[in-house]
Amino acid sequence: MSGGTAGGGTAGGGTTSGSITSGDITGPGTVMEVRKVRKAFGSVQAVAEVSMTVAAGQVVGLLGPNGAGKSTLFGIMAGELPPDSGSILVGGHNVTSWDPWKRRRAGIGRTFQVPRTFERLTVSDHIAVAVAADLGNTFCGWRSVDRWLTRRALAKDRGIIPVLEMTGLADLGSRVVGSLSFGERKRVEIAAVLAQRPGILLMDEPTAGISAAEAVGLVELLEAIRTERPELAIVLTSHDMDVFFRLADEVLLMLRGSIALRGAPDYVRTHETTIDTYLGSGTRDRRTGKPDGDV
Amino acid sequence: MRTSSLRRRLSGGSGDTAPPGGLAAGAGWLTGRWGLGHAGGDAIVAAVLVLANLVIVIWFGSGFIFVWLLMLPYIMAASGTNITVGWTGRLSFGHALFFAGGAYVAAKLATGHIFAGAVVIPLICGVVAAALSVPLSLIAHKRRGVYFSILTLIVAQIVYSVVQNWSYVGGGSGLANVYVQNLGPISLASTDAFAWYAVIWTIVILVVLRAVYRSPFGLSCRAVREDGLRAETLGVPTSRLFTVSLALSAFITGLAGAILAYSETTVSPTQFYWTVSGTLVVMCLLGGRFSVLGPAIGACVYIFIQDQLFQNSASAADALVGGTFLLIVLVLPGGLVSIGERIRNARAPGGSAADPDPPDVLRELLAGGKR
Repeated sequence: MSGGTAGGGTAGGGTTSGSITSGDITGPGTVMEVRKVRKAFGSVQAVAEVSMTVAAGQVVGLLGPNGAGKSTLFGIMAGELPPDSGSILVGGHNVTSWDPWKRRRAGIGRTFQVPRTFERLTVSDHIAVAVAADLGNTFCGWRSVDRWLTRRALAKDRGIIPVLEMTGLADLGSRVVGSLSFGERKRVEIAAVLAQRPGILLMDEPTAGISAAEAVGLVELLEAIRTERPELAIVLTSHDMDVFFRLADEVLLMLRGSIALRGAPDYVRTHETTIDTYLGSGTRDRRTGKPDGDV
Repeated sequence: MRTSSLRRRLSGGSGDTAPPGGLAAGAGWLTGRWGLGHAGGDAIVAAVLVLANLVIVIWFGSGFIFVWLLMLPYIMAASGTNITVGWTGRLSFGHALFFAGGAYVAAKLATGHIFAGAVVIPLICGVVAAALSVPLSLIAHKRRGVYFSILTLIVAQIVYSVVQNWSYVGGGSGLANVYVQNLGPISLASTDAFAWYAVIWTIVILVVLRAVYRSPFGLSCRAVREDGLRAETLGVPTSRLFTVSLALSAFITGLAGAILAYSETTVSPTQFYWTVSGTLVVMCLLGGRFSVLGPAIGACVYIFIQDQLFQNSASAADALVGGTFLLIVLVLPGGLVSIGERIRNARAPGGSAADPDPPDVLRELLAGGKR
């Protein structure tokens, strides 16, 4: 990830991130690059000239309060929103004008804050849709997914069963997705994306809306994914800083559409900008200006 | 639909029998419980339709057979329409365009000398209907919900007005003397032979649809219905998928239109009118749009009720469309095929007789799913 280093990071407004050139930030193993992306909704500047890169195997956390522009940036990266200016590069290709389905084929997988699932399909069928799309067989209308697709998917090491086992859904394959709990539907979303073996996984608030126990389970799942798929790059947003500190290699703090701070999780956690954002400036020690205890 | 006129034109009869077609179409639905698998389900669908045809041809003779000959093309047309309404979740009020379009093409080709015309002409009708769907999908593929419905309605009504004033296709009077050509040495002139011909087409269409429903294509269509954006972010090209699904839907509906033209021996501009589209939609909802055989059951039940109760009153038949729609929205959003599930749920410990499908069927259809 650009900007930050293993032991520290950089701070500043949107101009800091915006001033970084692609030559500066693109390094070996870069799988995605966001270049000076801007997006406004009327007079509100949701994303203000943000630049960032993600390397293979890296986990990048996007931190920020409500309205900071995280979800808008996610939408732009996934192809759901067109940027006003700037570009998105995946694997060296400029995908800015590509539709979401084409970006998926370029390697971007995505989950949503509120899980978007196929409610009337079974869990297995839900994942079969993803596998068929990944194999380029969406328009195959003459073979049954029950037999042929399963065999084909297994032959390509994209088995539905291993993904179900990894995500803890092995016993739920025949259940209708709409009958599952909120947390289980989050896992179904993750399983469907994982079955496609993406190069980059965008996860919007993976622990939002679920119980503390389910959140712990989900973080453990993400850790297992990192172990199982060391080449997979993950970009995630969260309000929950504990998620970042367990998973992220680097954290970007977004404020008012710009990247205000970037660096290693510990650096960002103890930085005064983060403290002020989440707890207010009154929580800093009045004499030293340092944080009054851990965040 | 003109059962009474059909009856008068051919030989008349009492026609007071239960609809074997409905039972036939429903039987295959149960195969999952019997563990017969997909091929077993196909065999049951075929067997029940053949048996129903046999019973009607031999025992009921010229009475019920004309109702049956109306049911068969409507089974195909409703099943084809359901690809758009049930599979991809778009409420189309323009499928009369494909249904009547197929009928008109069959009428124009009926007197021509075409090799194996009995097989080739219905296929040509399907291809023409599929071609008609392409400009419609180009216009409407970005529209969802009520906007899509209105667009399809408008396009079909424009074609209705054109056909009514186009002398080449008979203007307001339509075309008469539309008969199916012989199938090689086999004459299809008799009512019984034509019934077998129509049944075979119906079996082929239902078996093909059952296969497509469980294919990646069918599954992806249903995924788009559930959540278009989710499907797109999983790599499903939703616009292209919709174009292909509408073309397939139009192909089957157009082919059914050819069989209807042969069955009624006439075609008229009223077949393009929006109420025909509405009837096809109601058949899908009545039987159950979330299953392959639901629309077939809906078509049988609808035509039977119309024939038994409203055969002498066109306005009452129109009221049937509205009444049925109201009934489905309020009482049975999952259609007739959901009755079994409701009973099973009610019998289960702690279960209730509530429909497993959401009761807001109208709102869901008009919203056109998530995007």
